[in-house]
Amino acid sequence: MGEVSGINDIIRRIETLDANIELDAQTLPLVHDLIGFIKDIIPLMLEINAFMRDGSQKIPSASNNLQFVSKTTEMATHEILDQLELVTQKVNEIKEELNKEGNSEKILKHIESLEKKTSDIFLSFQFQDITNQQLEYVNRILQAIYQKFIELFDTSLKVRARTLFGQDLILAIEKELQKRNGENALQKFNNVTTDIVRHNGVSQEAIDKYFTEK
Amino acid sequence: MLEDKRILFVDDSPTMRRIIANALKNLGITNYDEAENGLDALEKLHENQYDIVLTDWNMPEMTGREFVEYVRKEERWQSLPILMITTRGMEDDVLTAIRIGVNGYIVKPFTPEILKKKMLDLIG
Repeated sequence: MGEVSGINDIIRRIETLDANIELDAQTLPLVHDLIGFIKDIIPLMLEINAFMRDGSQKIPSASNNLQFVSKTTEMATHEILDQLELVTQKVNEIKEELNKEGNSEKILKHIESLEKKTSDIFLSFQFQDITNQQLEYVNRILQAIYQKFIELFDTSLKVRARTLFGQDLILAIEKELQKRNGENALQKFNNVTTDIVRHNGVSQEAIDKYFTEK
Repeated sequence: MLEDKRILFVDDSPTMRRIIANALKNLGITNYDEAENGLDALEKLHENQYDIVLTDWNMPEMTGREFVEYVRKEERWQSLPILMITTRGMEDDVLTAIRIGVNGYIVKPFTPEILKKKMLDLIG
């Protein structure tokens, strides 16, 4: 079949095939239609391939972000709940002292109101469990999509291996992608999907050390 | 009425377990145990007698649904009241819960009033 120099070369070969093919009147329109379809689908394959390659690389990072959000809100929630438990304990102690003296009805009412508010704050932290489950759900979807991408890559490899035409086609698509992505499509995708919250566990101490060593 | 009851609550979220514990304390209940999933809850059920079990649905290891189904297969736990507290608020979820033998159902976020009412309905 000879070396294919690019996507335009593939399309040119398809057009040549289309022009020179000799078939009976009944089969010819069908083959023309098929060749037209192949020509149409090549740009689409380019886009899908580019999206699959670039998109799938971003999914593990998005997934990590979700897990980080989940852990951060849980830690913050527990810190606040710790404080609330201390407040509740103190309020109870004050209440007990006032009860002993037996003459502080008004203050007791205020304290009871405080207890109610503390309890309400406790209950409002149910949001953490609810949002956590929602994040987990999104995470599962991302993971499932990621798996699907990997399967699609495998399928693409099979297509590549099956026929000489397939090998040449994939090769040509890759060349074309390198050309296109080198320009602005990949740049644009990367700009949108760049991880804006970076966290790799560097401690404040380590950061400060970087500055002092500068 | 509820003060002398012994309660087991099951939730994989440590936050939720603290919130439920706090809510129970406010209802005067101090005799309770916690479990973080269905398997953990089954172990506790084997070891202790409870007046009621409060359980979440979505949990790792053994979900609340699997837990309830397991419990209801055992003769000795046929009449143990089970109150489900979950984020699953679709009608078919509630219907499933009823079908498998859940006695009460609360969708998160819950209020102390609802919790008290449901518990009084079941064991008051």
